[in-house]
Parts: sequence; C-alpha cells; structure tokens
Amino acid sequence: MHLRASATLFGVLGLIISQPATAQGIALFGDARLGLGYNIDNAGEATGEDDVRAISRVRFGVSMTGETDSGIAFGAIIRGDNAPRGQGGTVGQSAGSVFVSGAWGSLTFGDTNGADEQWVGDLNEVGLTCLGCQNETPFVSNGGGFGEDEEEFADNPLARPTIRYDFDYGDFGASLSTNRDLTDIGVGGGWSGAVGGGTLAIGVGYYDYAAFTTVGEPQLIVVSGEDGLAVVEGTPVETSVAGGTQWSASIGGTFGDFNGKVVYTTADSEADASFDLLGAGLGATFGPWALNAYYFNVLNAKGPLDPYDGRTSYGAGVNYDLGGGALVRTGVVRTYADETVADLGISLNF
Amino acid sequence: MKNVLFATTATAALLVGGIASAQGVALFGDARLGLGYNINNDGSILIEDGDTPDDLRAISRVRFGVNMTGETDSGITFGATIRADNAAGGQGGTNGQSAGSVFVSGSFGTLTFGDTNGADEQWVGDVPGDYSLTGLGDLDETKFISNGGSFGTDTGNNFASNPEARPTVRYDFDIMGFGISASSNRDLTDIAVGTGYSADFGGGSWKLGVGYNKFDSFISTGEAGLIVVEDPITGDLNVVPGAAVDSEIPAGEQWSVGLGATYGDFGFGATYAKITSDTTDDGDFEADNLLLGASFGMDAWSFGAVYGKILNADGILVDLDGDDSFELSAAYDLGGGASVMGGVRRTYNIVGLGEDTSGESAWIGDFGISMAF
Repeated sequence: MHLRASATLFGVLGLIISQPATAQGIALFGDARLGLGYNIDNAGEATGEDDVRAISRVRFGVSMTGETDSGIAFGAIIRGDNAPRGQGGTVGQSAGSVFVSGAWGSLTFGDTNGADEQWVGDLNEVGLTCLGCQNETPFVSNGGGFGEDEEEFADNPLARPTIRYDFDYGDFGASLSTNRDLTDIGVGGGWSGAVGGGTLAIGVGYYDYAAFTTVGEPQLIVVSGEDGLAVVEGTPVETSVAGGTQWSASIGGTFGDFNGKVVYTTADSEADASFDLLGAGLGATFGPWALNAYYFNVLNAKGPLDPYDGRTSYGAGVNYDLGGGALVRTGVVRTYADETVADLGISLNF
Repeated sequence: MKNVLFATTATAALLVGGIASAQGVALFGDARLGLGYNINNDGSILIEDGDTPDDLRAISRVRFGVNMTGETDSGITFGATIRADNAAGGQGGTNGQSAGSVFVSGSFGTLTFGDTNGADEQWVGDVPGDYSLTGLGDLDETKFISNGGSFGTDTGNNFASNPEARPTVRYDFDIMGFGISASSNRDLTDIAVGTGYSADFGGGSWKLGVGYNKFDSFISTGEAGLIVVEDPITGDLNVVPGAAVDSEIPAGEQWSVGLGATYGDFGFGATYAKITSDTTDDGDFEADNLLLGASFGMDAWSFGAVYGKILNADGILVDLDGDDSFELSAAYDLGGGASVMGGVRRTYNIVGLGEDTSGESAWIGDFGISMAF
C-alpha cells in the first residue's frame, strides 16, 4: 500500500516534468494475430510446401500528432519493427509516414500511397494474413509492390519516400505525387457521394514513371578459398526496368449491408513491357459476420511480365467480430501462381 | 489552466495504467520532411562517381523512443534512454552498447554508460548556429576522438571511426558552478578529463570548458569495397563484397577548449581542438581545428552561421591542411513543436571529390519542416 502511494507520487512528478512531450500527443498502438496457415509462410505468402503451420505476430508503434500556433496539424506514424526504415539512414525513409495538413491541403512523405493508388485503391481483403494480399491492385507508384507488403513485381528501392499532396473540394478530391528522386509524376482524383440510397465512389489515377533499377536477392557464387572452394554471397542481382506510364480507374459503392468494387489498370513501358488487369470485389456484413471475395484477371501481359498473361487470382473469406478489437478470420485464395493457400485464426487490435 | 486540467486527466490515466507510468517510461518522438540538395537522407554529403550530382531529393524521417527513470529507496535516481531505431545498438549484443545511454545519479555525482559524450566533449561541446533541417553533416559539432571519431552522435561524418569507442563510461561531478568529468572507453584504455565554469558577466552569461583525452590506438573499420573474383570452375568473373577495410589509428592525445556566451537574443561560441599522435605503420598526424558559431533570434525567427577551419594538419592528415567550411541557416518556429528550417553549407574539401588529390569542397543544402512530439 505504501509502495503504491509513493509510486503514484513519483509518477505524477515525472509527468509534470515531462509534460511537453506527453501533451503533444504520442499514442501507442498495437496489433497481433495467431492461427494456422496452409501452404503459407508467417507473412501469408505461398510456400508451395502444402503444410499446415502455426502463424503469429505481434507489432506495436506510435502515432504522433501536434498543432502549430496557426492551426496547421502535423504528425507522424511508425511501427517499432520498422523503426530503422522510418529513420531512413542515408537512403531515405521507406517505412512510416510524416504529414503536414492545413486548409490548403495535406502533404505526406514516406511509405504512403502514390496519387493513383490513393484514389483507385484495392479490392476486398480476405483471410487472417491477407494470404499474399493479391486483392491489392499493383501500382508502380507503390515501389512495385501489391500494397504495403512484400509481394513485389518490380521492386523499386528508391520509390520511397513517396511525396503526396492531397486536396479536397466538396465531394471531389485530387492528389499529386512523386518519388524520392522527384522523377515520377502521379495524378489521382475522385468523387464520392450518395446515390440511390447508398454511396458511390469513383477514382481515376495516372502515373508517369522514370526508369529504375530493381535489386534482387544476392546470388551465391563459388570462389577459390584458402581451404579449397567456398560458396559466398555475391552482389545483389540488379535489373533495369524501363520508364513508362500506368493508368488506373475504379468504381465502388456501398448499399446497405453490401459493398462492391471494380478496378481496371493498364501499364506500358518504353521497353515494350505491358500489363492490363481487371478485378472485382464483393462484401457483405450481417451483424458480427462479414463475407468478402475478390477476383483479379491479368487480361494481357507482355515482355518480362509475359508469364502473367491470362493468369487469375481469386479468394474468399469470412470474419466474425468478437468485439473489443478481436476478430476470427479465415480465408482461401487461389494465387496468380496457381497455388491454393488458406488460413484461420484470431486478429487482435489494441 | 489547460495544463492543470491536462495534469489531472493524466493523473487519472496514471491510476489506470499505474504500473507502467509509475516506473517512469515516457515516450518521445520526432519527425521531419523536406527537400535536400546534394545530401543523403541523413544530411551527409552525396557523392556519386567522384562528384556531387546536383541532386534534389525528398528528405524525411520519423523516430521515437523511450526515456525511463526510477529512484532507489535511498534516493539514488537511475534511468536510460533509447530510440526504437537504435534498439539493437542499445541492447549491444556481444560488442557493447553503441546507442542510447544508461545512468545512475546521486549526491556522489552521475555515472553514465553508452552513446554519451566523453569528458572533454561534455565540457567543450559544439558551437551554436545550426538551424538546418538535417544538420548538413553537423559542421557545428567539434570533432572529438572520444566520440568514436565522429562529428557528434550521428553516423554522418566519421573521420576516425572507432567501432569500440562505445560504450563511453563517464563520471560527472558538480561543485559551486564548477563541474568536473572523467571518462573512458569500452576497453578502459583511454582517459579523458573535462572541466568548466559558467558565470554571468557584463550582462551576458558565459561558459568556458576545457578537455583532454589520452587515447590508445584503435582499428578504424571503413566501408567494404567490391572486389572481382574468378569462378574456379567456370572461369567467369564475379563481383562480391570484400572484407571491410581496417586501418590502425595511432595512440595520441587531444586537447580542446570551448568558450560560449549568450547576450539576450545573441549567442556565440568558439571551440579549438588539437590532436597529436604517436606513429604507426600508417604514419603519425598532428592537426588543430577552430570552430566559430553565432546565432540570433528575433520573434519566431532564428538565424545562424558556423565557420570551421583546419588551422594545421600534418602527417597522414596532411590533405586536410588549411581546409575550411561554412554554413548559413535559419528557422521559423511555427509553435506546437514544429519549425520550418533550412540551411546551405560549403563543405570542407572532401577527399575523393573532384580531380584535386586533396579533394574539393561542394555546396549542399536542405529545407523543410521539423517536428517534435
């Protein structure tokens, strides 16, 4: 009892001393998940091993906000596991984001959507791990990744920090974005409003990108060492990706308990590589239950992306909301690479 | 009024989260965004193919960490600080703690371990006048061997990087406005002492510091270069990362002195540091360096200027002889922890830059918004 009293006193003193830091609004957040995965690694990517394994993770981070004397809001967000990439070293910030926002709009730096992704977006997510996240539309502006995860089709190590400027006017909004080296131009815009008892959202995006070099895994090579031959790690394999343009558009709506969305995107490069993708997503909620499904079809792919020509990815999932931030989630996906993957578990938000 | 209300609310929060808060773990964070000219994301100079590439790029970062404090039953305070991006360096692994710091403090003085100033840096310090967004290579920082051979606590500019300088161990004691510090390195082979005095004089507040560091020789580890090797089976040539380049820095001593003053809205400071070494296979060196800095504040504005000159450099540092560098910067305080900041800097001659064997200097700059939470 005595201990608690003195501890509280100390805490109050500490609080008064360190008040400026606390007053400026640093909030902790966290999430976790646990469950089983079929044919996936812990991140939800297909392994091809047809096994069932335990999957789990726990993450935390901070969300920081402040306001200037003249009313400009500013803030930043970063997860603990991404902290070195938020600091950015010499290369640049590749995780977390920083923003400044006023009546004139919002300016965001970091691991944030390009202007096209901001308005066109992705389809309904399924499963506990999102099972490779192939519900996400592939945007070159996103460092070549499908969303913010590791599924990369044209990894651009210098895409980050993305810089994006957003402006809203009534039901309309527009965004402009570029990359670290200020060589790309992204434009996006959209409209959302009430239509026939529901809400409808339309988004269009354009991205003009300069050539970049993707850096792959290091090759193993054989060298002659002091004790005979040795295998060492070589330099990472670098591949040049030509510059080009990407167009994208989406239309989606929510009507009562149902939602749906259609996405189309087409990209061309100066080196005759191109792809066209069409996708549709559907969702429905009934009390604590939520059903989600998506379907993506690569209508056309040429050049280095030719192996993807005609491929499809589709999946379906069910969530049950336990309340308090916990959801039971399960999903099944057939990937672009014709792998079947599935998971089941509980996701937790704190 | 608002503060009191907040404190009350926070006290309520404290009762709920009693255990964590009572132990005194407080979050802190900072962020910045802007543009950089000829710099890397951390403000260090950008060199591509032996030249600065006239590059303009997006600069940003976000960081957070914890300050932890406690008190023993007998009133000894203790604490530690570490940033999340440095968490691994704070844990230290097998090598030693290279980031964050840990302290114990009582009437006997304060003992600090970790990424903390050596005794000389603690009292001589740096000069005022840097209001750039990224520090632009931290020209305002005096170069102390006790600081792992780097300019400040960053990795932006190592001139004699000592991978085993950390953890620094420093002991501080204050008496009647005089302060004395003694410090050593991880292997307890160096001895540094520092002292200083501050006083109000002639309408301003003055501080004077003196430092001395007797350092042992150490191995500086540079960047690993790429090497070409032949595949013994196919005969193909492959490029692989080579071993890091080690060079032995000879033992020696560093003297330093710093003087600073604040008169109302004006501040200025000067530091002088002299390094002399024994000799090794790589040779010996002797160098001394002068730094001058000034700042001026007017309402929400701050203006600063910093000038540095290597007065003399001999031996293996002869390429640095006579080099100088300056920086002009300004900031505007937006309130609430945010400031608009920007600066331009003419660098010292960078060895490897341009055609001159002793290197050439370059222009670098930055502009943007810094945020503290």
